[in-house]
Amino acid sequence: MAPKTPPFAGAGPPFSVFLERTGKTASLGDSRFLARNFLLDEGAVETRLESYARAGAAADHADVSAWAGRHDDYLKRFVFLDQPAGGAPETVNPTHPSCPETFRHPEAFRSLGLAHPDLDLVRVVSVGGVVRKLPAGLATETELVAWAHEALATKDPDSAAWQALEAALAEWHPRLDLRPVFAGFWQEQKDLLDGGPPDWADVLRDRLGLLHLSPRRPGQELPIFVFRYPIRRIPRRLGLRDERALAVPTVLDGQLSEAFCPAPMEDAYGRVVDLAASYREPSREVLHPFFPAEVKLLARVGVIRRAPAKPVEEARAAHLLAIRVMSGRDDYAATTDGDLA
Amino acid sequence: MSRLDDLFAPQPVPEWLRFFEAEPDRAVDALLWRRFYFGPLNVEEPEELLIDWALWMSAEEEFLETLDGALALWVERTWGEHPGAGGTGGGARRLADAWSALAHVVKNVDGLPRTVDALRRAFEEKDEYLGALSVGPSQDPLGRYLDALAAHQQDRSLAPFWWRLCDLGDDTPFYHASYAMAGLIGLPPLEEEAGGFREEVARGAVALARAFDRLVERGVLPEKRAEGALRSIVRLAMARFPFPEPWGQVFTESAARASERCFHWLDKLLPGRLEVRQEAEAQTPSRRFDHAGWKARAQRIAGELRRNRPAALQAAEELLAEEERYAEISGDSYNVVRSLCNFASSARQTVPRQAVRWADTARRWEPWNAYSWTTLVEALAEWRGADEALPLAWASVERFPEDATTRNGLAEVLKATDRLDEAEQVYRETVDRFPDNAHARTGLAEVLKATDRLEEAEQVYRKAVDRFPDNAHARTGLAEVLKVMDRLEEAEQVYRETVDRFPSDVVALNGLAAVLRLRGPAFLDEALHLVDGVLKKQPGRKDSLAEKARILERMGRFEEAAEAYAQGHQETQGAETFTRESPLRDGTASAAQLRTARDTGAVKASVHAPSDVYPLVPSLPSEVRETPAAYGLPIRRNRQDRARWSSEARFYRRWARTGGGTGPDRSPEALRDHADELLHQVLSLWPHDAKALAERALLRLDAGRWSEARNLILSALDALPATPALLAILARVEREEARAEKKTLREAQAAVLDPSLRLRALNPAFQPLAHLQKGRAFLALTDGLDRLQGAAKELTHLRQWIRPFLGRREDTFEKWWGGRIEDRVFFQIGPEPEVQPTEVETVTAILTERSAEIDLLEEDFWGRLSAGPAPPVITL
Repeated sequence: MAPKTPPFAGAGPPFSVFLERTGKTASLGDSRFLARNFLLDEGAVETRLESYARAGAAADHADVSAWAGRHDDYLKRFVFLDQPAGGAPETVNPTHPSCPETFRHPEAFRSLGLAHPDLDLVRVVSVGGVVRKLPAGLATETELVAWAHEALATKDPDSAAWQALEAALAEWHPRLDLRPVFAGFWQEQKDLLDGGPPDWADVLRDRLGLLHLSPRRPGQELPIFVFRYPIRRIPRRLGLRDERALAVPTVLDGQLSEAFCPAPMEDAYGRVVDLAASYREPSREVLHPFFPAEVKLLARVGVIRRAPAKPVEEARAAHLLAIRVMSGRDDYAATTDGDLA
Repeated sequence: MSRLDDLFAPQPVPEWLRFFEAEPDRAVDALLWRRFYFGPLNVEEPEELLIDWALWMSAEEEFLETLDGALALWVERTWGEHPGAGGTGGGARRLADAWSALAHVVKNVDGLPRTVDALRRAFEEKDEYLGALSVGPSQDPLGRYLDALAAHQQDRSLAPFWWRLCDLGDDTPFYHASYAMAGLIGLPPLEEEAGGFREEVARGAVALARAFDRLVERGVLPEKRAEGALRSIVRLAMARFPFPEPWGQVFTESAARASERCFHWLDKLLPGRLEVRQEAEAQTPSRRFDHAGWKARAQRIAGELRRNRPAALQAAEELLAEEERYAEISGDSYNVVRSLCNFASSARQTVPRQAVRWADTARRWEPWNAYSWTTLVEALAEWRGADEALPLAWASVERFPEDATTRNGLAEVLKATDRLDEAEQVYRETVDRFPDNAHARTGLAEVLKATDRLEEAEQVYRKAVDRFPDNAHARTGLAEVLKVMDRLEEAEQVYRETVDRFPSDVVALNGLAAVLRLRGPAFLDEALHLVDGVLKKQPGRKDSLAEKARILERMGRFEEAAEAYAQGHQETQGAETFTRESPLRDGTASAAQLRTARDTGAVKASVHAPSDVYPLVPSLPSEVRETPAAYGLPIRRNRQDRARWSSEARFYRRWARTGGGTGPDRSPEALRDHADELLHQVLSLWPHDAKALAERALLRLDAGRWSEARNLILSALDALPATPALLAILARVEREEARAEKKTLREAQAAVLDPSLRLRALNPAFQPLAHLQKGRAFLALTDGLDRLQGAAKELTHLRQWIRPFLGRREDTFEKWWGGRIEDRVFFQIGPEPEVQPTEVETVTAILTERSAEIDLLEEDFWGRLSAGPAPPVITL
C-alpha cells in the first residue's frame, strides 16, 4: 500500500508554504522540527484540518511564536476542553461538547480501539505540577512525595498517608482540562520500573520523550509519580462495550513539541523520540481520554535530576533511523529531515 | 556577563529571561498571553517556568521587584478587558487562561506585594469580571484569583468572605469549597492559635460539611460526589493540622446539631472520635447557637437606639465585636447578623449612617438572607433617600424572587420616589404571586390612594379586610381612605371596629382620634381622651403628640398645642434625619404663630395631607427627587446605576409581557421601548454588561426577532461564556425558533438541547432549569413518539427534583419555585412524579397557554442562582 500523502503537506498555501519555509530554516534550530512534524504527519483526519484552519492556525505565520499561539488557540477550542463541573465523562461520546476532537472520529481508533484490556499503560506526572494546582496551603511537594513513598511501602488504603495522597489527587483532578493523556506501555518500561537503575527516572523521561520534565536550572530536581493502569480502566467508546478510546498521537493532539515525531501510518502506535538517542526501538505511546488517577494506580515515585544527555537533533536523527528500519520505509521523512545524518 | 549568566552557568540563560531583563512588561505580557515560544523548554504551561525561576531566584530582590512591577502593571491594564485583549485575537478561553496564569504565579510566589495589592483592590468586581470567564473547575480564573488571595493574607479582613464561601450559597460553585478552606487556612492565625491547632479551620470543615449536605438535599450534587469533595478537602486540612484530639472535639460539638448525613460524614473522617449524640439533638439540626445573654442584650440596646440614647452606640459596638469574633472563629453568623439587623432597624431614623453600615455588614455576612437586604434597603432609603436605595431594592427582588417582603420593599421605595405606576405594578405582581401576603394588598391600596384613585383603593382595602380580618393595618388603611374621601362617619365606624378588635393598636387609636377631630367640636373631648390614653402608656410617642397638638389647636388651647409640638420635636432631637413635620409644627412655633396659621387657613389646608403614606422612607424635597432615567436622568457612571438600569429594563419588559398598564406610555410597545432605551444607556457605557445583553436579547425574543436575539447571545457568549442567563436565553431562542419553523428532533436536537447541557455543566445547581428547558424544547419539536418520550423523561426528572421540597417546613426558594411549577404546570395530571407520555399532551397544552408565566419562572430561577455575591452598596 502506498503511503498516504500527509494531509498538511498537501494542504496548499499559505500554511504549507509556512511549514516548508520553517522546516528548512536552519537558524531556527530544533524549532524547525515543529514544521517538519506537520509535513510528516499522516494520521490527522481532514475534518481536523478544517478545525485547525478555523482556529486561524493554518496560516502563513510571522514566526514560530505566532504559530504556537494559534496552535494553542486550536487546542483550547477543540482538544483541551474544559472539564464539566460534574466531572470528566466516563464514556467517550463523540457528539458530546466535552469530547476532544482527538476522539471524535472513528479513524482515530482504527489500530488501537480493540487493544487487549489487560495490557498495562504508564503515565508520568510531575509532583510539582500537582501540588501547585492544589488550593493554597493544603499540601507541599515534600509532603506529597513522603505520602506517596509511605503509601507504596505500606499498601494500606486506611493509612493517613494513603488517604492524604488520595485527597490531594482528588483535589488536583478537577482542575485539569480534558486534554488527551499520553501514556506508554508498562511492558516496555518494566526493566526500569520493576527495580531498575538508580537513575531510572531520568532514563524513563528520555525513553518517553518527556522533554518538559527536564531541570530548567542548575541543581533542580523534579519529583515524579508514575501511574500504572490496565487498558480496561480507560473510558469506553459510547455504545461499544469492548472498545476503549485509544488513539495514535498526531501533531494536533498536544502542544508544539520539538521532541515529538509522528509515526508512519503503518505503525499501530505512536513512537516516542528517545531523548538519549539510544538507537533502540522507540517506545510505543498512545493517547487516551482523561480519567482521574488514584493512589492504587501509583507504581513508583522518583526524581529527575539531569537534563537529556543528547541534543534533540541527535535524538531525532536516531529516531528516524529506527523508524525507517522498523517500517521498511527507507525514505520516511527523507524530504523533511534529509539534513539529519 | 549579567547576573543571570552567573546564575545559570554552565547552562545558557533562557531566551525569555533575556527578554524579561530587557523589557519586563512586554516579556510578562507575552508569557501570560502565550505569545512567546519557549522552544526546548517545551512547557505545557509557561507560568510554571516563571514560578520555577521566581522561586529559585527568590533571594534576588531586584528580579522579584521587577517581576512584581510588571505583573501589577499587567493586572491594572488588563482588569476589565474582554476577549480580544492582548493583541492575540483570542477568545474568552485565552483571556481566562491569562488570568489563571497570573493568579497561579501570584499564589505560588512570595514577594509580589504590589500585584497582590492590585488584585485585592479589584475584589468587589471579581465575580462580575472573572466569574463570567469561569466555566468550570478547569477553566476557573475566579477560583485561581481566590486561591491567590488566600495564599497572601496580611490581615483578617477577608474572614467573613471565606465563611460566606464555606456556605456554598447559590452564587458559589461547589468546587470553590476548597478555596474557602484555603482562605481560612491562609488567615493570619489568632494570637492564641499561632503555630498550633486552628479551631477556625476545623469549624470551616464543619461548615463545608453542612453546605455539601444542603447541596445534596437540594438535589444539586449526588451524595457520593458531595462526600468525596468534602473528604478530600478535610483530609488535606487535617493533614496540615495533625491534631486529632481537638478536631474530634470540634466535630463532636458541631455535629451534635448537624443532620444525620452530615454527622455520618464527619464520623467517617474521624472514625471513633465523635461522641454519640443525643437523639433530641439529632432531630433538630441547626447551625444556630444562642449565646447566653446576647439576645437580651441586643434587645435592650435596640430599644435604646430607638430612643437615641448616646450610650447605646458604644454598647452596640461592644456586643457586635463579641459576636463578630465568635462568628469569625465559628462561622456561625446567626447572632451577629441578628444583632446587626436589629440595630440597623432600630437606629435607622436616629443614626441612619450607622444603620447603613450595620445593615451592609449583615448583608456581607449573610448575602443569602433576604432580611439583611431589606434592612439595608430601608436604612439606605432613610439615610441617602429612596432613590439611592432603588438599585439595591431592584437587586434584592431579582435575588429573592420567593420573598414577598423584598418585593414590598421595592414597591415602597418606588412609591417614595413618586414612581407610583411602577409601585402599583410591583404590588399587583406581588398580590398575584403571593396571594396570602396582606402587606402587598394594603401597599397596593396605598398607592391607589396616593394617585387619588380612592374608590379603587377602597375596594382593595375592603378585599384585604375580608381576606385578612385580623390584619389591623388593612382596617386602618380602609378607614384612612374613607377619611380622605370625607366619609368621616364610615371612617369612624371602621376605626371603632378596629379599636374593638385591637384595643392597643396605636395607629387605630390615633386614627380614630384624628377622624373625631375632623368630625367637629362635639367629638374633640373623646379624641383628646384617646390620644392621652396612648401617651399615658407611651409618653414620647411622636405621632400621638402631634395628633394631640392638632386636637388642642382645634380646641383653641394653643399654649398646650405648642407645648405638645415642642415635646414631639424634643423626642427626635439629635437625630440625623430631618423631621417630617411642617415648619410650623417643628416644635419651634409659638402659640401665637399657631393661632395665626389657623386664621390664615395654613393648618386646615394640611389636614388632609396623607402624612403616613410613606411609612418606610421620608419624603424628599422635590428638587432632589430624581426623574426616571428615560425622562432625562443625568447619567452617573457608577455600578449602582448600571445595575439599576438593567433591572428596570427587566421590570418594564416583564410588565410588557403581562399586557402593560393603562395609558399610551404604559402600552407593551412603549414599555419595551423604554426598556430598550435603558439598555442602550447601559450598553453604550459598558458594552459587555452581561445583564444588559441578556435583557436586550430577551426583548428581541419577545418581539419575535429570533435571529437577532441569537446573534446577540452568541456574540455575548463569546465574551462571557460562563453567564448562565445567556445560556438559558439561548436555549429559549433555539426552542422558539424550532417551534416556529416546525423542526424535527434530528434537525434541531443539538441546537435546542446543547445550551441546557452547557448550563448544567457550568453548575449542577441549574439542573432543574435544564430539565424544564429541555422538556419544553422537546415539546417544541414536531416528531411523534421521540418528542413525547424525551419530554416525559425531562419533566419527570423535574418533578422528581421538586417533590421533596414541597413537604418541607422551611420556606426556601426551591419550595416556592417548585410549588409554582407544580401548581401551574402539572395540576391536571397524576400526583406521581412520573410523567407518562400519554400525559405529555395535557402538559403541552398548559405550557403553551401559560408560556409567558413559565418563561418568567425560568428567569426567576437563573436570576436567583446567578445573582453573584453582593458588592457593597456604599463606601462609608
